Amino acid sequence: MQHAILLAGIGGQGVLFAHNVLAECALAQGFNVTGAETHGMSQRGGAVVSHLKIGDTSAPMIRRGTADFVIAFDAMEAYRALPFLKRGGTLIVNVAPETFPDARVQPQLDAWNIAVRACDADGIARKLERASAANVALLGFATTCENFPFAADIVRAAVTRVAHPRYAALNEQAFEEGMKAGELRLETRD
Amino acid sequence: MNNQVLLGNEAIARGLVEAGVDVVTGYPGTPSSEIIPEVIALKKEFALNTYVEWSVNEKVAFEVALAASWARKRAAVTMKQVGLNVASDPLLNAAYSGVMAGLVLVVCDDPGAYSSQTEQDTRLFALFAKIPVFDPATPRQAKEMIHAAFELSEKYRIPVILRSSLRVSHARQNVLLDPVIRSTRQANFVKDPSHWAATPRLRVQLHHELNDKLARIEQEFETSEFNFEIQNLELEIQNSEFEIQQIENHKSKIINQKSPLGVLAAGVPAATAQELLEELGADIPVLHIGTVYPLPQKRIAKFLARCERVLVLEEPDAAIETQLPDRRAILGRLDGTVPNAGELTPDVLESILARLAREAGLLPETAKETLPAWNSALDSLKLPPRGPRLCPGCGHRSAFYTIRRTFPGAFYTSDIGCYTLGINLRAVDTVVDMGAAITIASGLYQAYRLDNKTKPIVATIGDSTFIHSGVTGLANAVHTGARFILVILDNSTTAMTGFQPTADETRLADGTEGTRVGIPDLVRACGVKFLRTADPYELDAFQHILKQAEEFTHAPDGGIAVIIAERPCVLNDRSPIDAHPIRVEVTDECDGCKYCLVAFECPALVMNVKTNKVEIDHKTCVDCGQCIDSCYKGFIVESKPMTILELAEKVGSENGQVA
Repeated sequence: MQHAILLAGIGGQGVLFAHNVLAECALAQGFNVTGAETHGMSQRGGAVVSHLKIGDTSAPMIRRGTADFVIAFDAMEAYRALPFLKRGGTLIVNVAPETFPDARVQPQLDAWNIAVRACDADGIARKLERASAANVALLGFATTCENFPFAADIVRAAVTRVAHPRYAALNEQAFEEGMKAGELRLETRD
Repeated sequence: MNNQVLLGNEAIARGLVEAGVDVVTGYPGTPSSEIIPEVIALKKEFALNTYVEWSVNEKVAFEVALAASWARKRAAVTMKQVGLNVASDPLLNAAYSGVMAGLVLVVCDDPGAYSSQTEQDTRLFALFAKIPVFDPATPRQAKEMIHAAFELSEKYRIPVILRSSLRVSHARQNVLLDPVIRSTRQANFVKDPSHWAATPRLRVQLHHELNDKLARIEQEFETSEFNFEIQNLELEIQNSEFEIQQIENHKSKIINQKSPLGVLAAGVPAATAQELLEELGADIPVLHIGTVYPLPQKRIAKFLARCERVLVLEEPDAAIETQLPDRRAILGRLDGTVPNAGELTPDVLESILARLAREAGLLPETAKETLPAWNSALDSLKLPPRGPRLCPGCGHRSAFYTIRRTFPGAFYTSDIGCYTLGINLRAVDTVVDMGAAITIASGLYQAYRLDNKTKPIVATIGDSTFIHSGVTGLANAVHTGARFILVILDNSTTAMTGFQPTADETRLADGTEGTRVGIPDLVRACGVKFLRTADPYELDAFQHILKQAEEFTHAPDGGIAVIIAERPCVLNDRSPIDAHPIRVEVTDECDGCKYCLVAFECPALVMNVKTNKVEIDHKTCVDCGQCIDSCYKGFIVESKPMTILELAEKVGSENGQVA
């Protein structure tokens, strides 16, 4: 398996947490992982980009036009990360589906055959009264997306391993709600 | 489980502990800061007898570790690349004096200067200091090299540098763990003044000894496992005429042993180049160099002889390329093939490699698939840039806001830390290096005094930075009669790099109790006669003290006025805000003048372009209430008191992440 996943968001959204979860998933499946993270100055409310490559490579960064998935925890950062996607790649984004994407990028999305999978993970987190649960909700949603490399059970188990046990119940709920949103999308799409 | 996903810095820490390190010192700085906390975690996990300290600066850290090595304890020092500038004095000396037990210096470079003042190359520093240097490409390799570095250091009695870099230290990779060795070394400092206190007369002799060591190390590096060749041809793909031709070329090359293009690479660019060549399907040999100084010249000469031209890929500067005696067939930074600044991202390397491979006839001339016109589409969206900003509720913001309001035309000299972001509030004019807020203020004062002019000068420096390198500058400024206001922004931690303790508290790196070196005592000991402590959240009181301070700088018997602005880092300690939350809202009268956005610059104040009114983003707002003052029209107001339920929810969500 060779997969490149780029995670994009803002400092404090739990991008590194999501990165760790997916890296754990890969390891649990017997794959090697290499990736690059953002720490330090750029974390103070700045854009955070995290590169995750699954398979036998030693190069930590993803080149533009080669990512299988972009998982964006913020709509603005989703736009900025679009050039990383390969032809036929998938954007998974935390945004109300009816507000995304902007029509001005639609020609490029079409030309490059990019699938957009939007989920209002912030809305789910608000419902659970914990803003920071959005990242786990989006991971739950991601497992329902076509060609996503990890099944829901694998990701759910990795969340449990990586997260603080104090948040276990909340994460479980957020994950399920994210999955539900994904399943609803699959049922209602034309 | 012995296969774990580790951050590069965690892998380095693991390597240190596996090697049975006895003493680890360092000063925090991105991207090196996670090594020492992981050493402490492993020390606790394995109940090891390891001494670990966050030293007050890098020079101190190096000297403490050097002495431990002289006392036959394995020692390691960690720092970022600009930290090595501070530690350079003892480093150059230690190359001559040598070491006893292994001494490994881990220095993390920052190609792309994501969190640094410079893109300097520690490998060039190693050349200058005559100290061997390893250049890992991955966390896995970094851990292996730590073991090799200790062995080399002990075999040749020389300090050794492991040069990590951003994309190694902050890479995350699965790493196979090796057993942890418990140290059994006994402290045994054997007096030897001819080395440990060598007089100038003996120094030339030590220099000869050093040169001899380096010559022998170069010999050893000729056969090092960290220098290896990769052949990228995939013979099984045979579906085009071009590829068949490639195989013919390859066969003839095996006979002639001459490739039209080769790549000599080190560190992360080596790993990136290897992946890119596999992806491009170009048959280009790569010699991966892990020991950059002393450079294995014979190994490299053999490789160069087999290639028509060789591209050198390394970062952030040209440490290998500079050492090549004959550069006529070399492409790299020195001839302009590789950019001379900035990170060698996969995108940058791809364009260089693909172009050269085509020129060499190793890739077909077919047009490569062009990416969609993302740039023009994204430009049309006018996405606002999202640079780093001071956090909502940060006490530094309140301090800068008041400083600027009180002395609008002053010179603002500042320093290294979160508070460099005071530049967003237009309250930072200069940033040089650790401690320079004070010395630059001194120099500006003296320059204007020559012309019999006085300019208001306000220097700002963090608590940890003040202890790191500010104290000597303050002593100098007092002694020479400089006059300015110094605000020490004391947030009770080293915030930017991850909340390491400072010497101004009793907590030590591993949580045990130490002795507090009080900042007020240090300030007074420097001879400062005006010292006040204030909470920058009390905006009016803080302004009052600033004005008093200014008067003191003009008084006949005045001098430097120091104010310690005490407010705990909001990320580290939310309790003062949670005890008195002030929830704010913007009234309908807001006329969208944006004054608060410019003057207070809080991420939780956002402009709603549709309504042309400022709004409070309650997702990021911490209820500090500090912004009320920034609307001089009075449109930012305290909301009705929170219900007990809301309050409970707010307090419960401290520390933010579910992670």
